[in-house]
Formats: sequence, structure tokens, C-alpha cells
Amino acid sequence: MGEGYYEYKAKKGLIKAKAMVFGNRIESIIISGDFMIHPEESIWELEKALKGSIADPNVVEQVVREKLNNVEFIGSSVDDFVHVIKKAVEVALNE
Amino acid sequence: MSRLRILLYETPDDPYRNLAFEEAFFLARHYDLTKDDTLRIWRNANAVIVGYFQYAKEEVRMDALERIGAKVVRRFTGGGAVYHDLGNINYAITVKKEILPEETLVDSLYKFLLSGAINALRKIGVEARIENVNDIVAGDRKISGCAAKYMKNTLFLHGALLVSTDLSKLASVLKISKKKLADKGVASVKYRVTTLTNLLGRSIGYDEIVNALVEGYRELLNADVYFDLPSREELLLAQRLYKKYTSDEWNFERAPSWKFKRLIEDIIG
Repeated sequence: MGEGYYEYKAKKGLIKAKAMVFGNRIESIIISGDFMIHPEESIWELEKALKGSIADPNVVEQVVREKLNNVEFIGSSVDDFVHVIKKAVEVALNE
Repeated sequence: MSRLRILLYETPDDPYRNLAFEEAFFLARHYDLTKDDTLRIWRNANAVIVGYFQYAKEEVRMDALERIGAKVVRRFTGGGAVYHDLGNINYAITVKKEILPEETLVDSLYKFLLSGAINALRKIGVEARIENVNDIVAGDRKISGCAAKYMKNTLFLHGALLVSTDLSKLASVLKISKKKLADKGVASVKYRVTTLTNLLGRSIGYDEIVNALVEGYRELLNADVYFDLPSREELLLAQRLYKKYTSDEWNFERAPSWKFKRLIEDIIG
């Protein structure tokens, strides 16, 4: 089991991701911070969608873009979330 | 002319109830349980309020919090942690979307609804501006931060205005990430915020702020204002939500809102 953490300061808000990886699967992802997005519940849906998915940065990126597709970001972007979550998974894989 | 309802309802010694009521009056407006757009002005005596996506233990120095006897409450909107004492005055406004000048994106929602607070500040002699979407800044110091939420046709924005807050206490209880401080080019949160009292060099009373905020939002919305008490439905919603706002699951474990929906389902349908 590997654990990875990464944080990134977007234009507005700090985005933090903590990934737990077991074998080649994501056990869990927790996304926290002081960012602002609408609708807020998209974050829980994203965490749920990533749980159990393959711990491959390309797959992760695809899931994040898909789940945050209709989200409005206040001072951050989908690219910021992709960056942080991919990094956290990479750290977990290399642990 | 539209009507703007003013609520001064507050429970400063019970921040859980204050935050439960905050969500309640937004939901009451959204589900048409109240009929007019509403501005609420309120205070907490000693509390740290963390954002919806934050873990309290990552944002708050718990030892410092215990020393000053403050409580931690998580709010239903995003953004960062803030310290509330009686020198901090909160403004919260909920309106129906049709009052906005045009089809409004979230960015302009902040700009529009924060303009009421900017108007209010001008009335007490502070020339302030909106920066970085949701900060109100005077000179080079932040004096208010805000967060917003919207559900279909209802908008909500709340902000904390530093009138005479104890900035040392604020700095002692909030953990600010080094990445954030570096981004702001300062060594401590104390050096990027200030209070209205510091800016104006005089004390400012609660009534002066209330009058300025009421007038500032009256102007913005071109509305007739009236002072009111909480409705039965708002109080009932707040009473039910109190269970959520006093739970560790909500305040410390970052539980999603939907986990508590059952508390109010029979009221909002």
C-alpha cells in the first residue's frame, strides 16, 4: 500500500490531494483545501469515481476531467485539479 | 420596487446554532418558505469557521484554540478558515437569481453581491475594492473575505468583515500554509489583513456597521428594506440542522452535506 500527498496553490485557493494506492488500484483519494467550486458536491462524486480505478496517471486525468466537466471553478481550473491528483497518485505509486 | 428583509438574528455564544441558521435561511429562501430576499448580519463571540472542503485539524492550531476557549464549526460553503470574535461582523445575503442584471456566471455573482459591502464601507469612510474574486481589500490589506453558493435560482453569499477583531488571536489559531503565505509575499497572516478600526484610527460601533450594510445593500438592490424576526420555518430548519453543526462527523471529518439531508427532508420536500 502506498500513500501519496500533494498540494498546489492555484490562483485562488490551495488544493490538496491524498491518495492511497494498493497494487495498481486507487484505494481512496481525499481532496481538500480552501478552493471554491460550484456545485460543491462534485468533489465527493470525483472522490467516489476515483476509488477503485486504475492508478494510472492517464486514467486518473480522464476521470477527473470527466467528473469536473460541468463544474464552475472560482480562481482555479480543471487543469489544477488534474495536476494535484495525478501528482498525489504518482507519489503513492513511487513510495 | 423589490423588498429586502433584514435579519439581525444571532447566537454569538453558540456558533453551531449561528451556522445552522445560516444554512437554514438560505434554504428557506431557496424553497420559497420565505418570500423576500434577505440580508442577515450576525456575530460569533469566539470561534473558528472552516470551509466546506477543509479538515479542521489541518487548518486550526487546536492547542491555541483550547487556550482561548474557541469552538470549531464547519460551514456549508467553500473557501478558507476564518476566526470570529465580536469584532468581526458577518454579512450574509440570499437573493433570487432574477434580480441579477443579466445571465450571471459565478465570478460576476461575487462581484455583484460584494458590491453591497463595498457600498457599506464607502459610507463609513473606507474606499475598498474587490480583489482576487472574493476578497475585499483596502490599501494593500484584506478586510473581508467571502464565500458563495447557488442552487438553481437562488444565490447566497456570506462574508466576514474585520471591524476590530483581535488579529493576534486570529494569527494564533489559524494555520496558514507556507505556500499561501509565499504566494502573498508575507511571513504571517497578520501582515496581510487589517481591521476597520486600524484603517480609520477610531472605534466603530456595531450599529454603524449594521446601518452601513443595510444601506449598502438597499442601494445595490434598489429595494425597500424592513427589519424582521426569523420565521417559524427558518427556526425549525435551523433546529434540525443543529444536529449536523454540532456533530464531529460534520465539523472534523468533512462529511458531505447529503449525509445530513434526512434531517430536513420532510420540511423542504
